[in-house]
Amino acid sequence: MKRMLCITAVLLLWSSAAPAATWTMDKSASHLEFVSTYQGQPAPGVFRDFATRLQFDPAQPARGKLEVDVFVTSADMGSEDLHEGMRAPEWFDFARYPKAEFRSQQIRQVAPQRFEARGMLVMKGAQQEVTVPFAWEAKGQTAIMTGELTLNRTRFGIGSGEWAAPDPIGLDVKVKFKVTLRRGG
Amino acid sequence: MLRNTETAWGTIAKLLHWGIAVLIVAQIVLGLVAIGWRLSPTKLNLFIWHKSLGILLLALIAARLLWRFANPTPRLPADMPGWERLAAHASHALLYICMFALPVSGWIINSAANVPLRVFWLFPLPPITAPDKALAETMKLVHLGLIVALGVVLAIHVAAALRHHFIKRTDILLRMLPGRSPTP
Repeated sequence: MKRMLCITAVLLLWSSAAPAATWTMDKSASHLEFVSTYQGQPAPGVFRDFATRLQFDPAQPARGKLEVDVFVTSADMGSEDLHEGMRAPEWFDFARYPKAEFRSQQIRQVAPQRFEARGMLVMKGAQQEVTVPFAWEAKGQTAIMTGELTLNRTRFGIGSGEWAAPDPIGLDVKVKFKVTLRRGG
Repeated sequence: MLRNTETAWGTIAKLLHWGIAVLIVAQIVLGLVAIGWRLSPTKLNLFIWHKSLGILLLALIAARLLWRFANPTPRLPADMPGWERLAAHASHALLYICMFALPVSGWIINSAANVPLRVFWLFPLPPITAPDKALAETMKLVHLGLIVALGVVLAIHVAAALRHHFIKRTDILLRMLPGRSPTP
């Protein structure tokens, strides 16, 4: 009996130590959008190039790990002028900070199929703690992660100096994502 | 007297004429200042004023054309030669075309450049074309070309009005000025 307990304990420990499933992003079925505002009117855009790496088991979210790289120079707001504007040092400063990174090892469940990843977002050299809420919908070997959050651009010095004023370019930027993942990697 | 007669402009027509004249001058100055300003929130706000004023002008010009069609147009002096009548009608037609096409081309630039706009910070202006960089660039040239055309026709318009007043001594200029009641 004692031996039995011992084996069970070892098995339990082993299973809880097993790494969570690894998920790979399907780039063609994944989108990362942002909605800034101009005079309070939505001014949307997309980041065409980003990468998501995820280790996640919805039954054990705490063991999960989420890493997102956003290549900010791939931003597309449907206007060459706006792209040039974003390139400037006062905005994204493409030359010095071509990539934004989000790293989280704190994922928790907040409701059925709903989770929150709390972590560090490093963008334009500024490091800020950010909570990314997401819905998780898995079917067989595929899962879809969707969510949206709002960031204040001035926390990252995006739109610095006189551009830090909320008019005409608003401070809050909505970020929306839909990431399709395949199990394995 | 609000309405026009066969011999005189009514108050509405005069208000529209001079109101639009003042706004067009302000609009041209605003546009040039906005273009020259360094890239900053102030530049964007100058353009928002310019675009808002353009939409106001479009509405006023539409109202003016409707009012013109709903009213008699005061006759030109009876002794005016045929070529002068033709020139007067042609320059007035060109003025209306420029005044109408300028805000419309501006609206197309804004739509094609995919920039949202709240007119005077009050209401959103819907785009009239899909985002299209090439179209925006073409329309910028059209917009500038129209301004030059408007400037030329406006100069002719003012010169002709002064010529009528000081050289030909007709009441053409005076009858567009405020406070003159029509002679029957």
